[in-house]
Parts: sequence; C-alpha cells; structure tokens
Amino acid sequence: MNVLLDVLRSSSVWASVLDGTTSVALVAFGGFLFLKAGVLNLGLEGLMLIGCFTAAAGSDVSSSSAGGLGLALAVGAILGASFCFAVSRYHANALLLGIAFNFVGYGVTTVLEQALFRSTGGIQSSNLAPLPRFHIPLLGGIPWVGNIISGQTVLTYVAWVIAIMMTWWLHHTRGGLTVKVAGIRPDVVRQQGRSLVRVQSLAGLVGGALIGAGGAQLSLGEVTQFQAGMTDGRGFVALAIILLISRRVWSIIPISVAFALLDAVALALQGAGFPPELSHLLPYLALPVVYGIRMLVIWIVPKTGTSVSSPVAMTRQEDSLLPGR
Amino acid sequence: MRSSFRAVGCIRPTARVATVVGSALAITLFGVAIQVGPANLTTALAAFWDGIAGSPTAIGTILTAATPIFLTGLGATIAFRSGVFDLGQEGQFVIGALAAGIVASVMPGATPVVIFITCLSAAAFGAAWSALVYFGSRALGVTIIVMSLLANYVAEGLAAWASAYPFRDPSGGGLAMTRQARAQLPAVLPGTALNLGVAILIAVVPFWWIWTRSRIGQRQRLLGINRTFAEFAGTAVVRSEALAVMTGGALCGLAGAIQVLGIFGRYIDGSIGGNQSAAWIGVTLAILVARGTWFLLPVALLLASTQIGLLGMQQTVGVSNGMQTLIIGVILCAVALMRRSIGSLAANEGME
Repeated sequence: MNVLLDVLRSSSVWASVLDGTTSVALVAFGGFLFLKAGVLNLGLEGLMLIGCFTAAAGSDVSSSSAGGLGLALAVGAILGASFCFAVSRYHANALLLGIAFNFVGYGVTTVLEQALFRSTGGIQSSNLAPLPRFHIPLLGGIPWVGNIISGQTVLTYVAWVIAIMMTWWLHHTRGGLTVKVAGIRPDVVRQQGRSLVRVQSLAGLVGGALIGAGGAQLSLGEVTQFQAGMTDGRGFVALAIILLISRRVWSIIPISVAFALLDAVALALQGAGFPPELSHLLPYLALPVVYGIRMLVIWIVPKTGTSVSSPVAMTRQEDSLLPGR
Repeated sequence: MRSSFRAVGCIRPTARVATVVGSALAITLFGVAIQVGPANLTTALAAFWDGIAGSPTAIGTILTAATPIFLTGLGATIAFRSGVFDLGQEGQFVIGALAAGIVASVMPGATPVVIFITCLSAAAFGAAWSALVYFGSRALGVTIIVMSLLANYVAEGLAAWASAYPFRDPSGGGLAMTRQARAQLPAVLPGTALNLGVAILIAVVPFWWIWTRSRIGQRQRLLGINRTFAEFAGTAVVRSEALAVMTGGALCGLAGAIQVLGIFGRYIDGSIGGNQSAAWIGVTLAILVARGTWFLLPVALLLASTQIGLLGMQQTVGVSNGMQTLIIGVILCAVALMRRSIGSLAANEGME
C-alpha cells in the first residue's frame, strides 16, 4: 500500500503520467474523429507505430524535433486520408483495412528501420531531438502542482486545447455537425449537396495527423528513441477508450490519465518486487472493469443518453470480414 | 441489397488472385531490395528459393510450418463464417501451448496417454479462453474484435508470467520456459521437425462434411450469411456463436499443443505469440479463403512456404523479420480494397 501512496504523492510520477496521457489521448482523438465520420478505424495501433517511426526518423535526419513532428503529422495525415478515401470512395472493407494497417505498421517500420538506419535494435542516435518542454512562468512556481503542469511537452498542452476545441467544434459548428451526420446518416450529407467522400477524407486527414502526433509524443516525448513495436498495445487501448466514451470527447483526457496512472502504478509495483509480466497487464485488465461500470450505469440509469448499442451494432450486420454471400 | 451483390462479385476470381499474389510479390521484392541493396537481390531470392526447395527435407519443413497455420486458420474460418469476428486466435494459440507445456511436464503415464491428455487439455483451455472473451464482450457491450485483440495481450502476459514463475524450469537459465515435456510427438521425416502432428491436416475432411453436409454446419453458415434471418428461423444465436468461437478456440489450442509436443518439447516464452505468430498467418488464411473448403490446404501450404522462404532470407542475407508482417499487411490491404463493404454500399444505395 505504501508503494501506491508514494506514487500518488510524487509530483514527478504525475508529470510522467501526463506525458503518457498525451500519446494515448491524441491517438484517441484521432480515432474518435474517424468514428464520428462513420469510418471505424481498427488500425490505430499500426498508424501510431508509424507515427513513432516517422517522428524518430524525421528528427534523426533533420536533427530537430520540429522536423520529426512535421513528418509524423504529414505521414499520419496522408495515411488517415487514404484510409477514409479508400473506404468512402472505393467502398473498401474498413474492418479488414484497419487490421491490415496494424500489420503494415509493424512490418514497414521494422523493414525501413533496417533499410535506412542499418539497425535492428531501434533508432537511438544522438541526433534525435526530444520535443521541447515549456516551463510556464507563473504556474511553475506553485510547489506541487507547478512541477506537474509546467514543463510538459508542447503536444500535452495541444492535447488539452484539442479536448476543449473538439467538444465545442463537434457539437456547435456546422463542420462538426456535418461530420457527425456523415457518421449517422450518410445519405443526408449527400442530400445536402455535400460530398461524403470529401467530408470523410477530411476527417481522416485530421484524424490521421492527430494519431501521428500521438506517435511523435511517444517516441520524442516520453522517450527519445524508436523501437520495433514500441506502442505495445497503446493503440488498442485508445481504440477501447473511443468505444467507451460514446460522445463526450473531453472525457478522453481523464480516461487516458487513468490508464497512464495504471502504467505508473505498474512500474511502481515492479519496483516493489511484483512480477513485471503481471503488472504490465494492469491497463488491459482495467478495461473490462471500466466497461462493466459503464454497463452498470446504463442499467441503473437508463436515460443517460449513452447509446450502448452503437459500438456493438457497428460491426454486426453491415460489415463483415468475409465477402457478403 | 441487390447492388451489394453486384459490387461484391464484380471482380473476377483470377483477377483477384493475381492482385493478391502480385502485390505480395511486389512488396517482397521492394522490401528486400531496399534492405540488402538491388545488387544482392538475386542472392536474397536464391536464399528464399533455397529455403523452400533447396533440400530434400524442405517439404517436411513446409508441412511442419503449415500445420499450425492450417489449424489456426480453420479455427478463424469457423468463427468468421459463423459471423463472429473473433481475432483472438493468437491468444488461444498461446494459452493452448502454455496449457500443453504445463500438462505435458507433470503428467505421468505412457507416451500416447500423455499426448492425448495434453492435446485435450490444450484444446479445452483454448476453448475456455475464447468463451471467456466472447461472453465477456457480450456482457460488457464491446465489439468482440476489440475485446479479442486486447485479450491477446493479456494471454501473452499470463503465459509469460506462468512460464517465468510458477511453472518455470530452473535449469533454463535466463530463458522463461516450462519443464521438459514427458512425451514428444513421434518424428515422421528424419532430419526435419516434421512430426505426427501433421496428420491433423486431415481435419479438412470432417470440416468439409460438417460444414456442407450436416445440419449443424448449415445452421452456422446461415448465421454467418444473415444473422437476423437465422434468428427468425429459430437459431439460438448466442449458443451457435459460442459454439463457433469455442470450436475455433479449441483448434487454436490444439495447434499450440502440437507446437509444444512436436517441436519445442516445452512452452518457451515468446516462441508462440507475438507479431510473427503462426496464428496471424492463420487469420490471413481464413480471410483469403472466404469460401470453399479444400482451398484451405493449398493456400496454407503456400503461406507456409512463404514463411519458410522468408526465414531463409532472414538467416542468409539478413532481411528484417518484419518482412513477414509487412507481407501479411499488404495482402490484407489488397483484399480489403477488393472486398467491398456491404455497409457503405447499403448506406449509399440509390445515391449514385
């Protein structure tokens, strides 16, 4: 118990928790945009890994973090837009394409890593520039809180702003509503005289860039290196978070904080002699618990406005891994 | 719905096969060329060919690799064609192998008895694991795709823990593994790892009969084609889905047992799961062979040959082990682009 209390008391642990929050939250924001536009993207894990790799590679080549972040954003945006374009314009099977992206993500990063950097252990050169950390003048002076909030990477602050802006944008602007309508009633978008392909591809463009940014936060923020398969299921956790929140965009941040905190707790437990193989599983074991609580809330309070059927229904009858017969 | 049928069938089968094989070949050549340089491409391809057909025992190596691919692919096929998109085959494979490693190391008795009990318990554990994931996803309201993908991580973690602590072989040094199994599957072809486990390829025959000739197969097929109709026709949907998922889990668990009893002699952490796992090739097999039964065998052999060839390239010229994953990804991309989603078509119906 003491170990856990020490974790919760330490401001440096909380600061690293916020670091971990950002990568998962940014990927979840990106994936959420796909989902709202009506394209379920199962390939978050692969896209995030590509984001990690491009950020590290770009930073290595340009010796600057901006170069890495820029490349991650650009590649993420292109892949995200292509995903939606293929699904929307050419009716590609979204489930299959998402699964394929996960394989391509792992495969292409390991192959390119060896081809471009002649290494199999990862990119870890001194050229890699970590993302800059901002020290907020006034806030940083507050004893405990200041240590946590000040000195985060630029992407962490961006993620907080995105949480507020995306909530507002989705529910209160014409563009946001169009994206939501594209997800619920694509035919209405067409009847309005808009191009469904364009709406979905734009959502994919922005969503892909956000996922790329999440990858950059992982490889240039939390650590300053790239390793094969370094996302280690974070993309799937982000996917699970998206299916959990239904429509409250902002709640991605607190849920991501909870999962990053579990990672920190797992690390502390390891230090206390707990087997790392088991403590590593904490975030994955926590997901069923969170989902269970959600089901319980829905069961007790039937009218919370949460559409429980949507994530399940999404892959029921309409879509199939195998061709329709 | 008519438009969807038209769109699905609009690409000729030969063109589809050509696209899949062509894109796989293209990415292989490209990936190898950028890794070893265009000049060494012929050396690399020679290594690929050497792995597949270079020695008289090559067929044994390929059949050994094809066995888990076929079994996990069959498991995935049963689940997918019953309309359940369970992607937990890798986890079931790992759990089955772990159970086999544990049971085979403590079970006393004659070799055939040990083998039988080990295979049975591996299948039971695989089925139990898949049932846990299936009913968990139902109870928690999460799509089974996401639930099973997450469960794979849990399965690997549990197996890593079990082989590192309670069931660890202390003589294993730094390697986390269970104790030596008390029985091994007899070798079939000397000089290779080919063992009696390959006989399970014959499972394609009972699968064909059950799937196309029996009432239960008819019911599962109907469920996969149209869940709503199956429900109206009186199918107990949950029971049938659970049956499909658990049969799939049992087959994947059995595949794990064959790996343990036939090749490694124990459960070694990291040898079964991960991105390079044969279970993922099995999933690819199930997705590629969407119809028919007999094609499962030749395609499994084809995928196994590719795996063996890549392994040869990896050992000889140092091509990255990510090539296998990349090729799977590109194949699935090609299939995804050709296989139109009914959902988006139905939504756009009458708009174009």
